[in-house]
Amino acid sequence: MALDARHMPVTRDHVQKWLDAYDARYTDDTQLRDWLQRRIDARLLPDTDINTSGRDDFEANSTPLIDMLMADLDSYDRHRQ
Amino acid sequence: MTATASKQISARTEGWAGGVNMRDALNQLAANQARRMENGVLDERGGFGKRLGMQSQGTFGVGADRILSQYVFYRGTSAPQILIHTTAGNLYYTTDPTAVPTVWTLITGGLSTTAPLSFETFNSLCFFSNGVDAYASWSGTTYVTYPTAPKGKYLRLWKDTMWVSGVSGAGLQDRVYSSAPGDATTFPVAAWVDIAKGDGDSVSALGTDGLFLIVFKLRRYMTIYDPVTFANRVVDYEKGCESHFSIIQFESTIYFLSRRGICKYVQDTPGEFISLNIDPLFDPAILNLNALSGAWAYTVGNRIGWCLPEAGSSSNTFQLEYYPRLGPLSPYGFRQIGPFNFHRMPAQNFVRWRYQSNERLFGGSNIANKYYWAYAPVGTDDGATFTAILETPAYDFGESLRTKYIRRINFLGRGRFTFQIKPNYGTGVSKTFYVDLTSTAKTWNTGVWNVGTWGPESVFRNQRIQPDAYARAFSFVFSDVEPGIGTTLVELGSKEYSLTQGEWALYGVWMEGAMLGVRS
Repeated sequence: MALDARHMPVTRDHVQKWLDAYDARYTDDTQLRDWLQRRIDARLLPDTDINTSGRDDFEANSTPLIDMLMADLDSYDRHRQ
Repeated sequence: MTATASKQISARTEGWAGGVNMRDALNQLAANQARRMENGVLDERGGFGKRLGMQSQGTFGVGADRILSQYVFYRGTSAPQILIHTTAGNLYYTTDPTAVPTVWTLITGGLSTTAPLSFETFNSLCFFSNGVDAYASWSGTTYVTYPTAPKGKYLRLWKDTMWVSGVSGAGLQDRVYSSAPGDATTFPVAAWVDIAKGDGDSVSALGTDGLFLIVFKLRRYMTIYDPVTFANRVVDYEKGCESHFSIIQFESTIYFLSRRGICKYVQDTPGEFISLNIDPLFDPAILNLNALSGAWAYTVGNRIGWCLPEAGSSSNTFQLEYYPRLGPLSPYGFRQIGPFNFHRMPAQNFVRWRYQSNERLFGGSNIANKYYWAYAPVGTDDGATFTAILETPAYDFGESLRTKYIRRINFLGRGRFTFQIKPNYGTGVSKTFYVDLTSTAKTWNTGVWNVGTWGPESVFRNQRIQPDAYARAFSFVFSDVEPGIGTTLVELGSKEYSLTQGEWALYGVWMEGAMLGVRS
């Protein structure tokens, strides 16, 4: 099921809290991705995708939410040890 | 230019509704254009009048502070507030900009001292962001930050959604973010799209015509036409926008500043340049290309203006104004390109504010920590006398090679100004005259009954001079150093309204003389 990107229950507030909670514990993006995926799964049905049919930069008509989140991590305040 | 075929010649000017023409060769200007115009207005079509001055409404902050950006926050039935973001990193507001001195109240400090805030109003809140500080809102009394919102330089409201772009970060230069629909305080995690990803350009501005969101880069622009799927397309592969603050809508058209001039946005097709007659202005030797991101658009009266930076200056130093309504109508009823002229008001950005019976243009000074009322009923710029200049094309009476003698010149206008003659396309002045077209009131016990006219003299007057000038072609320069103001009349049926205007205005010049031979 592909959700409309603007009508979904996971917001930037949630992601920033997750990143803050993970602060000083992650060492690379693979571990971070797994950690974030578990938190997404707690809020959404498994394998929930986003409707990206209108976007030229995503080849598929739908894209996993975790992929979109990882692609936008640089826009968040991130803390590393 | 109308000329008689006999040896005795007479001619008249055809007004200056064509505005400034910097582009065409000296001898190719149209009869209704001007080689130079500065500090004048073209509101009376065909005439040129000195503009009104700037009145200081007081200071803000300390001496070195300047206004980076400003905005009018309309609040329904409550008095609107003007918000100013200064180079001290402070955001102030006032509810009464007409007070002298205007009282500024601090909303918050510690903001960027270089990145100007972009503002939008939605859901009775004023939102602002500059790509450095947290995205925030102001209700008129309460300041709230949203630390997790994308920190973008540009905000635009479209389809009841806040759109944000210009976020710093690797790979984010093409990204446009969307808030949740109807809620500009919440940003869903996947509500973003990369526009023309990796094209080597960066988003430089956001605009909207209501139907589409226009995503400008420096060298091209695109539109997002579906707010749900973010579907988008390229509109113009060739031109972009230099400044988010240069985008403005006036009547039915959106205008913006691109690298090579002022453009008109045309939906679904590449934009059109309207600044053709002033093409030479957009040269790196004249404009500071590196400071064009601060170019600022405003509207006043029935015209649009842009504050622009000259080469060597990092802030805006002059204004370019455009008169869309003075463009001639084509045979098919379409309005063609109107005239441009220039000003040197000491301001780098403006807002147009309206409340109850007042509507004013306010500006932030580029030379002091002052706030100005622009086009105020004063004749100076904060006490400094300024000059209005009009330089006409060269008139050769239809005979380029023969020398002419001008015996008499008659002016129609008002006020006091200096008139100079430049012969034969040169830069030197051969003759100078002081013209006084001010009107005076008749007084009792002077004059003779039934001779002449009674009552106050007309605001508009004629004066004749005898220049006794010889040349093949004549250019005229009108200028002044007058600190005063004048008036003009607007007739509403049987009632006359006297409106404060600049010191002088010129409506027409009539010349009479003789066509001579070819000088060896």
